[in-house]
Amino acid sequence: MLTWFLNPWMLLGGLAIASPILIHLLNKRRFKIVEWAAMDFLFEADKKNRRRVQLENLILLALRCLAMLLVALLLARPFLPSGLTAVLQQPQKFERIILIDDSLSQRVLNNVQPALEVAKTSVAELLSRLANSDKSENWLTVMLTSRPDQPLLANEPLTANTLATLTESINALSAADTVADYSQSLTELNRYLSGLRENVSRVAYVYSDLRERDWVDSSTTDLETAPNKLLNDIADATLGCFLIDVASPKDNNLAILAVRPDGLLVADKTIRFNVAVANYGSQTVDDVRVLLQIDDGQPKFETLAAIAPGQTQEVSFLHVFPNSNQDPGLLAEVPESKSRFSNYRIRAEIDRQSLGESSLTNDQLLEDGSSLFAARVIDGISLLLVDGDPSAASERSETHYLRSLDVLGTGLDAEIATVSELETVSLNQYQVIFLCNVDEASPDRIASLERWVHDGGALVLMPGNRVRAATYNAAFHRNGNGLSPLALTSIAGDPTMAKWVNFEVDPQIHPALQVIVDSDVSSLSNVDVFSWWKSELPVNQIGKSIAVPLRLNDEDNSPAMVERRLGDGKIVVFTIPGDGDWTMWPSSPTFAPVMIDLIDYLVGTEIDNSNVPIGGAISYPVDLTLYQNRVGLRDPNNGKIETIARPTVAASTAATDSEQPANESPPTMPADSNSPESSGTYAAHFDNILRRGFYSLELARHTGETDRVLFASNYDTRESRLTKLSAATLDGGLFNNKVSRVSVDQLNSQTVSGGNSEIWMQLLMALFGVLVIEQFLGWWWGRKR
Amino acid sequence: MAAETSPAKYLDPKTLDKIKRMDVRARLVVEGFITGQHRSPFNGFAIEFAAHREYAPGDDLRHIDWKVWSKTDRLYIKEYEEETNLKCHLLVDCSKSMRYGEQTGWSKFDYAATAAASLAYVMQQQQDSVGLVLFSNKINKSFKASSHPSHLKLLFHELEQTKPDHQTDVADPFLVLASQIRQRGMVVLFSDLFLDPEQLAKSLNQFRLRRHEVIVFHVMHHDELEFPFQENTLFKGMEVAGELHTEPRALRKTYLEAVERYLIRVKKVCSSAGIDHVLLDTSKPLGSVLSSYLNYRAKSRRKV
Repeated sequence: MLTWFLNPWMLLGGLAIASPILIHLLNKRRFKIVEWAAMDFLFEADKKNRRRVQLENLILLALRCLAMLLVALLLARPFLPSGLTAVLQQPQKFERIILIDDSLSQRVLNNVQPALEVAKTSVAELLSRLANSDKSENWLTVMLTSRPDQPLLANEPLTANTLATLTESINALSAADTVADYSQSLTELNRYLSGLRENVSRVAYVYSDLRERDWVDSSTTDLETAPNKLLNDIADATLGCFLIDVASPKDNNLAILAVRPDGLLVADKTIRFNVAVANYGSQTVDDVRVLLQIDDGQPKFETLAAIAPGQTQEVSFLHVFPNSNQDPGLLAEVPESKSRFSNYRIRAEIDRQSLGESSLTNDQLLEDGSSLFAARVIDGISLLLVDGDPSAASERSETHYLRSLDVLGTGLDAEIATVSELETVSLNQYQVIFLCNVDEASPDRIASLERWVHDGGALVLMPGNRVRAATYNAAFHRNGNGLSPLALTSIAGDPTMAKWVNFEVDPQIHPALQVIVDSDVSSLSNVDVFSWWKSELPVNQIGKSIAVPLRLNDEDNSPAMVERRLGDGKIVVFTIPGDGDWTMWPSSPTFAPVMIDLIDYLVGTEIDNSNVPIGGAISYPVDLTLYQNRVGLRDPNNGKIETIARPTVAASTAATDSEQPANESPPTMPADSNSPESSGTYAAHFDNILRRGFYSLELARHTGETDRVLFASNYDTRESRLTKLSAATLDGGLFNNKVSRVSVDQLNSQTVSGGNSEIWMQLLMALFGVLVIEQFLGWWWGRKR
Repeated sequence: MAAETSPAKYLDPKTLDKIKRMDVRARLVVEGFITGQHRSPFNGFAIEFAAHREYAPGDDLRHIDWKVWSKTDRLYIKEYEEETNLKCHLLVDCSKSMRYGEQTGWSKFDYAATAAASLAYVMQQQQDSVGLVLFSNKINKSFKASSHPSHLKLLFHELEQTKPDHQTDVADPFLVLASQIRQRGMVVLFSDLFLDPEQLAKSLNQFRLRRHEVIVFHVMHHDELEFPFQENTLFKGMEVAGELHTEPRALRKTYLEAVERYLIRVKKVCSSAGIDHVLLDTSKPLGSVLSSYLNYRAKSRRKV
């Protein structure tokens, strides 16, 4: 309603209606008192007159109130937004606002042309028709659903002279890869309409392919921002509102939703890629052949027998990535790098050649028939197993079971070291270090271990019978300032192995335990533990910086596995050793999967890190000790943009913290966080990833080489659901009757008449009339008396 | 004169000047004991010849018409119409409603009292005796008719002292009065007559039945006749309880109609009873009203 007024706040003046009533009431209170003798005559006269006088006064009061109301209305400057005034007034100025859906689904062919081309042709025809009509003055605004906040054309005059340039910019449009957000676009359009309040008549044209998911998303139907409600509002606010259907009625589609590995991407390990294929059509599609191509290699094919309508099916591909760094000499060259990886471009695609002629119609949108994944494959995981209780006999060794994990297909590369060797090795070449039955290290080594963990290393502590609680606590716990989250107290359990306890898995299942728990819930609770370390945990930190995914079911419910995060790294402490002295676990079939998953978990980065949604941003930490701060990004078209790595927010707060005497950082930590070149505090940031494809981040080393990090950006799978709005939904009151739904052909015969015209003149005349009537009646009735 | 010894409030010199050469003549026959200017029911021996009648023993020999005896040898007594003096009673309404107009000038009572005083003065000048009755719903004060000069002074004093109060109700006081005034004479009523005209007619008839001549001076305030109020006004009843808050302009027309109807009824009532009804408007100069009325009476006297 308020959109019918230029100055809606002036309506508050309507409160002035109260003024005649107030004046009336005040007048009633101001009177003369007369002592009167001839009361009888007065009473008689009053009895006869009362009703008539009251009625007259009421009419006069109503007229005065009406006059005030009209004044308020006049000041609020209402206009009629509809064709009501068509008869009264011929509008001179039209503003044509066109919203074009340029999302991915507009690439679906309508006969021989993509829907967007149909829309563009229609817009061009519309413009030339308008420009060549001399009846009215036209102004043009064109908005796109891909970037609603930046109109393509903003209030440009549309004349025969400007027609060519305007049409050119329309024709230059191409479908974006982004998803159409009608809610946002129409909100923007609505805002645009409410922003300008001139005496112009507005006509809105919305070119849409009328996809069900665009217009009746169940999550927004009840909200004020539901697209259909917004369009209804727009129709109310404009003289004409056209919704132009540019899509073909065919809406079957096959889409690859995602291609994902099922675990950590490590060279020499068998990796399963799962490809999810969805059928958005209304018919079952048989024999869908899916191909997976890695870089430019030979594609692999798998076939899905049948996908029912609305169903999603997965197909798996197995692949082993070769280790690219076989040459140990190269390793020696860059010992400081602990996360070497190779980039592979992985593409899954529906093999359209496999679809028969009839099945081709089941896949209307070609573009979403393929999906990309940027695989960053680690060249094996370097393990360091520090044996605190070495033995000549392999099976007696503390690290026997852990060492046995290092087989082909796991990608693990384990090295064994003694406690004394631990002091001298270069920590940076390892990603995971196991301290098995170790309770001591030199303070320098502990400090470097802490720094190593802080920078992303993963440390696993498995104390056993050789460990002395006091020494362990002094070295690793240090009253809570050390590496270990827990302090050992004493060994508990039954040395005779007559009694035992079992594991109890925390309800919040740890990623390392997930596979085992998924396959058999009871497998871990069947493991017998005869002895274990009793420990003390800062209880208040559980759930914050410390997690206890595994406990024992003894009377204290002692923790069995404790995880703690430190900087970028992680520390896991078991209260049992990694050998079979105290437990039956290492020899049970659950040990190896848990340990491999634990290592994957400790090393792993989020798989989705390499996946960037369209419209999102790429942000990557840059270690300035290795790389220059100028970072480049190659987009899918091989264009290159560059940016400078900037401090992240966390780093800048850390910098301000370190200016004060730092008491938060442990004393053993080297105070190099002050240095602007400390790693992890700088990041390269690229906004607005708008195109689908592979993006390659180029990091230039100080030595001149270039490291690349691969990202993949995929179409939003929401665009794949092409289901059109059904006729029943369209006719069922989705839009009000001011929204004209037309086809492209029908649009040319549509005209609008009337205009937004202010009606202050009519109001002024009405006000004048009311005042004249009021005066006349007042005089007439006064005279009669 | 009384006016000189105490400046009587209700003796307006202008009024007196207008009417002092007038006579207040009773139109009907009145009884009196002093030979005056009014027709008397008794035949006496004065100036106006009436008839001859035969002598009867006991008649005064002085009245025998000797000229008739000399011609006819019969003794005839020559009779004359006796003229007598008048007893007039002034009835002044001093009910509360007569106070209207106090604030702005002369109240109705002031006006009525002045008229009464003027009449009393004139009558006293012509040797008639004047009595005064002040009444509201009862007889407040009553003075017997007398022609003594000091009596007039007393009446004036009384009029000055009176504060109007109470309601008008003529039924009781007039009944009492009618029985008190034995001698035929004149009764002059000064009142705003705010009462039921039927009641008024009945009461006045009490006097008429006793063959008094009755004159009604109907005193109305100018405001009551014209209703000139403009602003919002709260009217408070002076005699009647109750008040009315109204916009006077809206009521004026209907009010005036009601007053008009009332006056017509009162006049009708009076004329059917043979009573003179004179409307006194307080805004008009009293002298001219009284003099024009007295003139009119003087002319029409012969016809009766």
